Amino acid sequence: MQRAREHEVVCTGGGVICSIASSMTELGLALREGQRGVQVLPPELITARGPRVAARVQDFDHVRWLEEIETPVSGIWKRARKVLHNATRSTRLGAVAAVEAWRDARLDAEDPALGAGTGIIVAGSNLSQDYMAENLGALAASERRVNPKFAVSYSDSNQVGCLSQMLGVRGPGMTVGAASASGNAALFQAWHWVRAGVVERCVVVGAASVLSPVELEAFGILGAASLTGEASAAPRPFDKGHDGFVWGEAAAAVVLESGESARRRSVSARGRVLGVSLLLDARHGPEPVAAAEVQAMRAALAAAGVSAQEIDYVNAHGTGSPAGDRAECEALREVFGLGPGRPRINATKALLGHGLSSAGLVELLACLLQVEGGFLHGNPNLVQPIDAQLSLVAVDAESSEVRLALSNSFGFGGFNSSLVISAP
Amino acid sequence: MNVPMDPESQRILEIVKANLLEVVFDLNPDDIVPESNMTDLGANSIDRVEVVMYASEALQVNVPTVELHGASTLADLVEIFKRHTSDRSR
Repeated sequence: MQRAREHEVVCTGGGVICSIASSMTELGLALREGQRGVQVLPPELITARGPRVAARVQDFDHVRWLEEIETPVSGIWKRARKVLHNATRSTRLGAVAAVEAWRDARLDAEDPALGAGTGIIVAGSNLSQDYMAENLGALAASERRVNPKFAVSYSDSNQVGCLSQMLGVRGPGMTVGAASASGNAALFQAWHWVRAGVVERCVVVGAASVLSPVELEAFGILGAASLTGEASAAPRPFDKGHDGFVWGEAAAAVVLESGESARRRSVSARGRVLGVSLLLDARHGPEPVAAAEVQAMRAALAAAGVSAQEIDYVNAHGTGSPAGDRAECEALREVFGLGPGRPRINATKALLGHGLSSAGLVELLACLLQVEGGFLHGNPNLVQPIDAQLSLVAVDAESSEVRLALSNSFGFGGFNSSLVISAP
Repeated sequence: MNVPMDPESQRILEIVKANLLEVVFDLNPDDIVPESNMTDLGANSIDRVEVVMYASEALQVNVPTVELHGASTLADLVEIFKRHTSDRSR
């Protein structure tokens, strides 16, 4: 018996909403121009020992967004209005990113055969911490009552159901959690599904991690978050002045699809996902393990059938946390060396902060847009690099012909993941 | 079938209707009549709990959940609420 053929995996659509962009086109421009989304937090999110700044989505109104992209008569518009009515902020942000990716991939939500061949994976866990805090507060204040919807909406997996109803998807679906590596972990799962022919395509949504003051305070106490009060000063990935990550509220989505399906539907690919890795490091804490990061990068390269020397560009995990940045520099030196032809490196979190659950998806989109646009975005706060020998992009964007890129995501709990993408 | 409602029942029905429109969102107000069944109007189990909860708050009554199981139409629900509002006024 012949072994089932492994399918080529392409990306046929993308969608995003973050502090500096509410569409793929806007993100491409914002990256090129080096726009930054970090602002001072509103008083209700500032705690005694928590961060003072974050890159949040400002003035988000899902109805206005839907009206811009969807005609009010479409099935998606009608179902989205209903599903997102009274939904959590994280659900609404993820939904608009997913709808953009769906339209970008020119998929039809009213085609039952298409819906049956499509899966959904939502990346992230503990996505609606704002909603948890709000309902705990309602329970504690005896005069107010808990919202009955909480029984369903507190669960992140409800986002999968909401998306399936909006998009008419009837294939497999689930959430995938791996802390800050959740986005890459979801892509790992979806990539294997498409590759093995379990689905023809999969909508992968990097859901927004919407934090409450509790998480912000804890990240501050732990020393993981930057405590600067100056919005322009942080984050500073790979700079000697780095003092922690800055939360960047964002949702991003892609459609991963088999090459055959994309060709059959006559849609062009934004890029190809050649290989993905996801490895634990047998330690549960927040500390990065450089050796495990090396293993993750090498495993992704092996899955892609690509050598380290062929990689033109690395989108680093680069949160701006001193321990994380140091470990990643060490791992990058180990994998790529310091000789000529070493890859250029930047960190998208320098511009739009750390999306936590969504970071892997946001950074995949950043890779695709930079490959397509022939540029690499700058590292705006990189004044004194911690490793002067690494090939870090300077403050401003540069033009570049990137063919092969690698994107890293590492997460608390010992998750190490890399993906290798190429131009279509 | 269409028995005219007394003013108190009418007042309660309007409150239920307003909350139903808020929760279910895409309803046509003209489709909501005393004989309507919330499920038939597109309200799922959570929507129904929400409508009853918000209407109870507006009417300042506390109806035990078990009493609500017998209600199949909005008119039945109005009757149950009415019993509790009149209890309170005694």
